[in-house]
Amino acid sequence: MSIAPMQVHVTYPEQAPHSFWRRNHRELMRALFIYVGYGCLLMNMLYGGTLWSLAAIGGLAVLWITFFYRPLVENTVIKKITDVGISVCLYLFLLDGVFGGGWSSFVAPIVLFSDLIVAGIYFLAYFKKEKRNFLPLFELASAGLIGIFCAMVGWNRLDWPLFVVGGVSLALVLLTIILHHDAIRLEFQKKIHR
Amino acid sequence: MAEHRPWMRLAQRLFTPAEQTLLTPYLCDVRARIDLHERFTVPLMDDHIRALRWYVDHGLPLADAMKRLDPVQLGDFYLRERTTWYPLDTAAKVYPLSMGLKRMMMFRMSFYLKSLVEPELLQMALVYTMRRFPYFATTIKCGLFWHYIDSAMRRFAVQPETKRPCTPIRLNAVSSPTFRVVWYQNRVSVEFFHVLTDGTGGMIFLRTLLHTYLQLLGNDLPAEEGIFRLDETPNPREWADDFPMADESPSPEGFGDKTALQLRGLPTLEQPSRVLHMNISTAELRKQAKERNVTVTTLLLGCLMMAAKTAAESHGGKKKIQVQLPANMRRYYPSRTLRNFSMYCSIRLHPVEMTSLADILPKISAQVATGTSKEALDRTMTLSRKLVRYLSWIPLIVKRPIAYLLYGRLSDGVFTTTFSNLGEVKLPAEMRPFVEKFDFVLGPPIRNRANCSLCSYGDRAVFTIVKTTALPVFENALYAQLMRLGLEPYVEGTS
Repeated sequence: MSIAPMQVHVTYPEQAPHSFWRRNHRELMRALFIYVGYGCLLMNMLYGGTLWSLAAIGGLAVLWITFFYRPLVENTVIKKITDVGISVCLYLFLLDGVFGGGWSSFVAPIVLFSDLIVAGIYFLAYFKKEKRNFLPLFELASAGLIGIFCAMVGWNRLDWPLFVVGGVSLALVLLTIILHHDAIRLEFQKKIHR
Repeated sequence: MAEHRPWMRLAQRLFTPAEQTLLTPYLCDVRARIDLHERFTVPLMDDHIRALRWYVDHGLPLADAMKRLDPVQLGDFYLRERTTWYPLDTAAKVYPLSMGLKRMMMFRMSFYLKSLVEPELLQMALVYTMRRFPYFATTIKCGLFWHYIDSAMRRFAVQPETKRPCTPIRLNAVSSPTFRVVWYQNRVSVEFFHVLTDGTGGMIFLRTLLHTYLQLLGNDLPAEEGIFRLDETPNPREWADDFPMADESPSPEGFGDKTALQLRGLPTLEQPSRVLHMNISTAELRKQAKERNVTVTTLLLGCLMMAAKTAAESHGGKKKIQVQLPANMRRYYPSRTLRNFSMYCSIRLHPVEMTSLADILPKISAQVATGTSKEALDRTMTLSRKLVRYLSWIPLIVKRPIAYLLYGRLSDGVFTTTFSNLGEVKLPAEMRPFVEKFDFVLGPPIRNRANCSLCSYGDRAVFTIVKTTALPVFENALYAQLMRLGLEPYVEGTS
């Protein structure tokens, strides 16, 4: 029995013609970053010398996080500020590791507390809008408190920047609890539920 | 005052000064029931004005139009801040973990009216319907260990359909909704992120939206057959996670399986590459199934597997054609939840043993009976609960990349395709004259080349295929199978 070919009656709107770039720009940019990173690594391995390619890859990562990375859930101002802060701190440690100097444990906390201050002011100033997005800030403040704790028990050096990190973290936590204890308790329950 | 009330500009543009005199107290009443951010308040006020204009243009006096759009219907839904939040149900936990920029577990349900959609009234129908579904008026958020659903104070908008069906929703704004309502000609579709609900919950929402829309058109219709009354107080059982309701099985199993044969064809850049709706007579479909002494699901599974055999990779190895068949757990448990409450089983046949449709139907029938039995589904459910319990201590930041990498391999990799039968959609007799049909579309899979779904309404069963590859072998083979059964499908879809 011969069967007539299937006839499809179109019942969907024509797709608006978007350019290839517009449809795939995120993937294309990501691919570009990855290839540049691989390229640096390859050149570094071919020519030898200092591991400058790691610094280049780290720089690309910071650039990506700052300008292109958008989380799929909770792409908020606080998230962006904290992500950039963390990535810059990690990059400083990387640079120190690659080129030496032993300055990162002094400089990174300065970046960290500046970041905490900016994110904290934004969070408290726009608390009603931002109260549901406090998790990245809480994680950053916790990292600061762990940092100062480690320094106080003697696991790492207690410089003034680290002292400020601990102070700012503690102040941020206390201020939030004092000013908005009911609201933040509910938000905290949501964030840590299992 | 006008600068503080931007919606008045629209009212001034659309209504005569005499009408504006009538309109002003009405708009003040509406405004008094809205306490949203200005970027939601202004469009919500505009929605009322546009809908009133629509009524006046269609011959209804303004006073009657204002009665039909009585602000009382808003209740205090847009007024008070909702602080309710919902942990994800057991099945939903994996969906946000495994989603990507162009990959999201979506499904879509549509109704087709016998007349063109009136977008102004559809918007108002959505505004009113949301009040009855506070669980749907939510957004997704990140926790330390799991994502969760949080209440969102916003206006929910209907949009003209411009994108492909089941295109991922942007969820990253402060109150991004987890579903979208789109319309095109006589079709209204709701596309859900699976994290929110399953087919049963989605269909209740869709039918309630349809009911509200038809009421706004001036019809007096009863709210029966699973349609929610908007003036009812929502019952907390509607958003309960009913997975713990399932009986604990002593031998949990069900997720691990062997890699399945996949259909041929390269996935296209844009997904889905094609959506096809095969319209079949329900009576004829039932007759054909009855003649073969099988259910409609089994008959269509048979056709689908025969078509998959034609379209699959070479059959030399041990790999089988494995079809994922979702099963509604509400059949076994007295659940009222709108959230996910379904499990699935796998129907497996080796291409070599698939000689003809008549030969494979008894085998499929036996596998369906075993796989969708309460005991088998309880085993899978127990395993999923255990998995969630084990994973609950691992932070999200660790779980997410692992789940993203593994999900496609573990979920789609063990299936050739999915076939989801939503069953018969019922409407009160008074609503039937307005509705032509319903359809149900599964979102594009990650690794599989096609997904299939079915729903029926009256004498119209719509079998839908979602393709991720341009190669038309599978749909052509399936069409030929259905033609051989004498079902003569009328095919609609994307170009």
